[in-house]
Amino acid sequence: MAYNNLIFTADDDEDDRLLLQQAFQQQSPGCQLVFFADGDELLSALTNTPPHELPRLIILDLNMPRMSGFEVLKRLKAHPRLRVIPVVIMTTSSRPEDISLSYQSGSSSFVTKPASYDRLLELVQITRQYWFETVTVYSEF
Amino acid sequence: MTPVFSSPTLPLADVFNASPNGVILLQPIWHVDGTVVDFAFTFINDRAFSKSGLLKGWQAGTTLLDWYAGKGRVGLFDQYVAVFQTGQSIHFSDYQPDEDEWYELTAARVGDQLMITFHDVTQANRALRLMQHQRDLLQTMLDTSPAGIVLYEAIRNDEGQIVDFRYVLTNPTNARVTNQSVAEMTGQLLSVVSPTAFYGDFLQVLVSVTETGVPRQFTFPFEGEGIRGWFESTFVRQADGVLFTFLDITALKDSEQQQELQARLLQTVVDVSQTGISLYRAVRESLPGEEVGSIQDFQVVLSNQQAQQNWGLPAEQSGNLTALGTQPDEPDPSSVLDRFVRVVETGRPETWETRSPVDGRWHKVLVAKADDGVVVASVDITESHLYQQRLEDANAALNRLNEKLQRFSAVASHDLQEPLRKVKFYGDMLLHEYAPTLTEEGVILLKTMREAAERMQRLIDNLLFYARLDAGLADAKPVDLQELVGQVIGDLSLNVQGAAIDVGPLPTVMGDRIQLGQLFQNLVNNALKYRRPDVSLRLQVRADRVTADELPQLLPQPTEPVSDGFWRIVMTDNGIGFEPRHAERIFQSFERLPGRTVGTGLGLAICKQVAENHGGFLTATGEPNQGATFTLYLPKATGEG
Repeated sequence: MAYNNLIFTADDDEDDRLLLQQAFQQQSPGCQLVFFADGDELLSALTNTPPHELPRLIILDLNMPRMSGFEVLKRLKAHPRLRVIPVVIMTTSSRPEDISLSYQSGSSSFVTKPASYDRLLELVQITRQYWFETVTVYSEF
Repeated sequence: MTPVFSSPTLPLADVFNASPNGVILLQPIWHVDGTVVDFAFTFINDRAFSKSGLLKGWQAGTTLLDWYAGKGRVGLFDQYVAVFQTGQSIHFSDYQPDEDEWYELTAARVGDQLMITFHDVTQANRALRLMQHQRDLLQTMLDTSPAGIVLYEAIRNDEGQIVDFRYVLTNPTNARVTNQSVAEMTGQLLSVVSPTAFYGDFLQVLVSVTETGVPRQFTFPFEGEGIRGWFESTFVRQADGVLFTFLDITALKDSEQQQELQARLLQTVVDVSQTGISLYRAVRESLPGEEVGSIQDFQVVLSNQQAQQNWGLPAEQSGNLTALGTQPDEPDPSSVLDRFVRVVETGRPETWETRSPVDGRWHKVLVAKADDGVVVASVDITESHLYQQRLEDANAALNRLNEKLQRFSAVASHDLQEPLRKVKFYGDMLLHEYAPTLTEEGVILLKTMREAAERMQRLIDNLLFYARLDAGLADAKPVDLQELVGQVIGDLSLNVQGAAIDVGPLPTVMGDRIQLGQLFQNLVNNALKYRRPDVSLRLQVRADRVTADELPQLLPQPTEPVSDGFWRIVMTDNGIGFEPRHAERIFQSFERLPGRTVGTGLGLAICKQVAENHGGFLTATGEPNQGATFTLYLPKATGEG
C-alpha cells in the first residue's frame, strides 16, 4: 500500500491554520493538509474515513473550544484503528504540565508554536523530514 | 418437844430445849485399853431434832460412828475425841453435803460428856456467797469492759449543794485513758483527779444528772490532764451520784475526720477542676437470685460544678440518665445510654466530641468504666474547635486560591501568550517580507515594537516560572553547579564579552536543575544589567562550607537541624551596586530600585524562591558604585562530596 501525504490538523485559530498552510505550501508542497476547527470535527472525519485515506500524521492544538486537545488525544489513542496514527501536539503553551500530560496521553511529539515565520518554516521542514522521510510509520490500517 | 429419852440426871434438858441452837450431848464409849472408840448420843434437844435433815437416819441406840457411816462420811470423830481428851473446845463450820446446809458448831467437854451446840447458817451463807459472786461478776465486768466506767458519788455541802464528786469505783479502761491507776482514783475527788473536768462542762453534766435523774448520752471531745480524744458517753443517776460510762472513739473519730477532710479536699479539687466530672451507677433490671440483670439506666452518683454547668446535671445527686434528657449528649440521649452500656460491658473507654445543648459549647467527652458504672470527664474544646474550624476554613480558602492560581497559570500560558505570539509573529513577517517597502523610521518602530513584545514574553515566562516555584521541589537530583554555571555563562556568551568571569570550584548539590539554572542565569543577568558603563565587568563565583551555627543571624534558622551544614556560594561583581538599606527590598517581586527600568522585577524574587525551595537562603550586600555580592546558602546533603 502506498503512503499518502495526508496530514489532518485540528486548530481553532484561523490565523494559525493559514500560517501553517502557507508554511507547508512554501516548504513542503507535497504534503496535503486537511484542517478542522475543533476536535469533534476531526474525530468524526477520522472515524468516517476509509482506512486507505487515513492521514499519516495528525497535528493537534491543545486549547480548543468544546473538546480540549487532551480529550481528542485520549479518544484517538483509545480507538483501535486510529491509535496508530502519530500525533504531534502544536500549541502556544510551554507549561511543563501540558508537556508531560501530552506525552502521557500518547502524543508522539510536543511542539510550542514558533513566534516567527522563519522558525515556523524550520519546524515544517523538520516535521516533514522526520515523519515522512525518516521514520517508518505503521501503514496496515 | 419431847426428848428422845428423859435424863433425870440432867435437869437442864428443859433449858437446852428452849435454846435456839441445836444441842447434842455425846457420851464416850470406852475400850478396855482406855481409849474412846465411839460416842453414844445421850441428848438431842428439840432444836436439833427440828433439823430433820441433819439427823436423818438416826435411831435410838445409833452411835456417832454408826450415824456417820449411815451418812457415808468420815465426820468429826477425831476432833471430838481430841476435844474430850484435851478439854479444849473447838469452834468450826461444817457443811452437810446431803442437805446442802452449813452449820456453825461448837464442841466442848462438859463433865464426862461432849456437848455439841450448833446453829444453821445456811441461809446467811448463801446470801453471802451470792453477794460474793455478784461482786466477782461486777469486778470482772469492770476489769474487762472496753468501756471506761466511773461511779461518782456526790459530795454536798451543809446546804445540800453538790460541791464535788468522789470516785466510788472505776475500772482499768478508765485508768488507761486517764493514765492514772484505779487505786489512785478510787475514793478521790473529781476536783483532784481531773481539774479540767471539774472546772468544765463535765461537772455540770454530773450535777444535772444527779439532780434531775434524767440520763444523758452524747459524744464529746476532751482535752486536759494529758488526755486528748473523743468520747461517746452515758451518764445515769446512781444513788446520790452518777454512773458514767464511756467509749474512747478517738481513733474512729480521727479516721472519720480524716475521711471527711479527704472527701472535702477531693470535692474541692473536683469542683475547681475545669474538667466536668460526673459519676454514674448502672441501674440494672432486678432478677431473682444471683443473676445480674441487664442495664436499664444510669443514675447520677456524683458530679462537680463544671459538669452541672456544662450538662445541666442536678446539684443534688439524683436522677437517671434517661430522665435528664438534655445530657450528656444531644441529639439522642439513648445513644449516650448505649455508649455507657458498652463501656460498662467491654471495660473499654470511649471518647467523642459533642456540643452541649445546655451551654452550647463543644466538649470532648471521655467515658471510662468505674465499678458497676461509668465516670464521665468532659473538657471544653470550643476554642480549639473554633480554631480548628477557622484553620479548615482558611485551608479551604487557600486551596481555592491555589486552584485559581493554577487556572490562572493555565490561562496565562495560553491566552496571554497567544496574542503576544501573534504580535511577534506578524511583526517578524513584516520585517522580513516588507522591510524594503518601509521607511527607515518604520523599521525602527517595528523593531521597537518587537523588542517590547520580547520583554512582554520574558515577563510572562518569568511570571509563569515564578508561579510554578510555589510548588517547591518535586524531585531533587544531584546538580553539578560548576557545570551548570558554566552552561549559563556559555548561553550568555554574546553578552559577557569583555567581562572577566572567574568561577571557582563549585560543588554538586541536590536540587532541581532547571530552578537552579534559572537562579544563576538571573544572577549573572543581573550582574550584566547593572554593570558600570565605564568599567569592565568582573564577576567572581566562589564556594565554601559553613556550619549551621555560622549562618548570618538575620536569616531564619532552619526548622530542621542540618547536620552537614551549608554550602556558601558567593557571587561578587564590580557593578553599580546598591544602597545597603535596599538589601531586602531587591528580592521583592515587581520591586525595582529607583532609576532601574530594565528587567521584569521578578528575577531576584525567583532567585530567592529557588533558594528557599532548596532549603537554603539568598542574601545580598552592596555599596553604590562598588558592586554587589549575592550569597547563596544551600544545605549540604548527606553523602555529598
